[in-house]
Amino acid sequence: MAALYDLKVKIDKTIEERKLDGVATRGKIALQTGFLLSLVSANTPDDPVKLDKLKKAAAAVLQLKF
Amino acid sequence: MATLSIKAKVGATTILCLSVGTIGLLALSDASYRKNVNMVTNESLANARATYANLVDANVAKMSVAAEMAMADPLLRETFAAKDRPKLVDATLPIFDRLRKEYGVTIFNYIDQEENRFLTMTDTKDVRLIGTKAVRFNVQECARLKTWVTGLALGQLGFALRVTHPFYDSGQLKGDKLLGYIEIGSEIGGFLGALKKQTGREYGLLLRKQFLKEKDWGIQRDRLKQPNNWNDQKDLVLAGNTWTDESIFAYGGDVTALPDEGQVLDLSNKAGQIFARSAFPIKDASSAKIGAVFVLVDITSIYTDLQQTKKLTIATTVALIVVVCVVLLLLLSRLVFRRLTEITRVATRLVGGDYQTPVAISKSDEIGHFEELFEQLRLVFVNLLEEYERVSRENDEKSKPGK
Repeated sequence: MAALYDLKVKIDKTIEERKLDGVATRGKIALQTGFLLSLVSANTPDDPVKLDKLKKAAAAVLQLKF
Repeated sequence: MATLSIKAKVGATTILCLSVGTIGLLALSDASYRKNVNMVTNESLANARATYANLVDANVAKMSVAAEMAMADPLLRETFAAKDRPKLVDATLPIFDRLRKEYGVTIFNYIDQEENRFLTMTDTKDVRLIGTKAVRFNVQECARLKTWVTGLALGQLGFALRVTHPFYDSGQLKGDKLLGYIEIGSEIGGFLGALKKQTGREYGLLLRKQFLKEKDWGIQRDRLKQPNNWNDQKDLVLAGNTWTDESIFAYGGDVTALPDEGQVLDLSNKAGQIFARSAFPIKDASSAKIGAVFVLVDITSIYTDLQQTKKLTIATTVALIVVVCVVLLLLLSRLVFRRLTEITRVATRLVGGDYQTPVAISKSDEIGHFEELFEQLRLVFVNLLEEYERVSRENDEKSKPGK
């Protein structure tokens, strides 16, 4: 539970650490996943398809390893 | 799937179109060159044929008058009638010398009633011919028809144009008593110089070996202090030419297959000079094709012009490709690509959480309409999102304990 939200938090943290343009980076990830990161909350139920897409987008945009 | 960008596609299409255009232009240049060469060569061939025919006619007229004047000379008539060969030589020699120097006459023969050679002035000391039968079409026809006959027949240096007249004791063209025949001729090899002088082209005369004797040919070439060229070609031998290099007249074809009006043969490149070769057949008195006159037309300047045109066309096309590609891509970049990139940037920022940046509508063209449409879509999306967030907040508050 909350794996999707945890990943979203991890992405936000990475953007902050790397001092990237948050809007543009989140936009690129959203365009790859097909959903808005801003709508992912702690209550958002885990969807394995969405989680997989987010992992792939984060790997592609931020080079995060999973 | 590997895809090409629109820029690459436009660039490639431009290059392809201009390249195809260039190939077309080069093909047109080639066709024009061939047409020009053909035209020049055909004109030269026709001109050479006409000039050759005029030369033959003029020589026939000249030799015919000379024959008539000789027959009208009482001394020649009397000595020929008396069959006094030494006196006939003495009487004919001044006339033959004058004809040789002034008109290029190389043959002056007396033939008796039985068609045997009585005297050949070309070499009065050569007794081998005296008394031998003059087995030649023009002599036989002259004897048969009892009128003057003209045509090409074998001579000392190849073929010669001969005029053969019946020689009567009256000294006129007709008479009661036939003394024999008089034959005056000139080698056609000498015509080539006159042809060149009149037309400005180069010429070669090729004769079929089957009408010649190898031994006699060798003797004559030796007399003229020229190398024996009998073995240079298979079926033909070069009897005369106006060009420095005999090899340009090499011909492996069959001259009997040449049409009467002549034929353009091929192009020949010799030491940087390009010649268009053509030929027309020549016939003897019996209408047999005995050889051909080869005409050389120097087309080096036409060829050089073509090469320069080709180089210019290619250089112009390359420059055009570069200019067109740059202009086209700059135009596309300004009108399309830059504006699409801006829409993509706004869309990316929108889904990234920037709901405030609008799409600027830059122009009222096709892309401008798309920008307008996208801006409307963005506003709808932002409104929906705000509505969603408001409902979510209300639900969260309702679900809080004590509410």
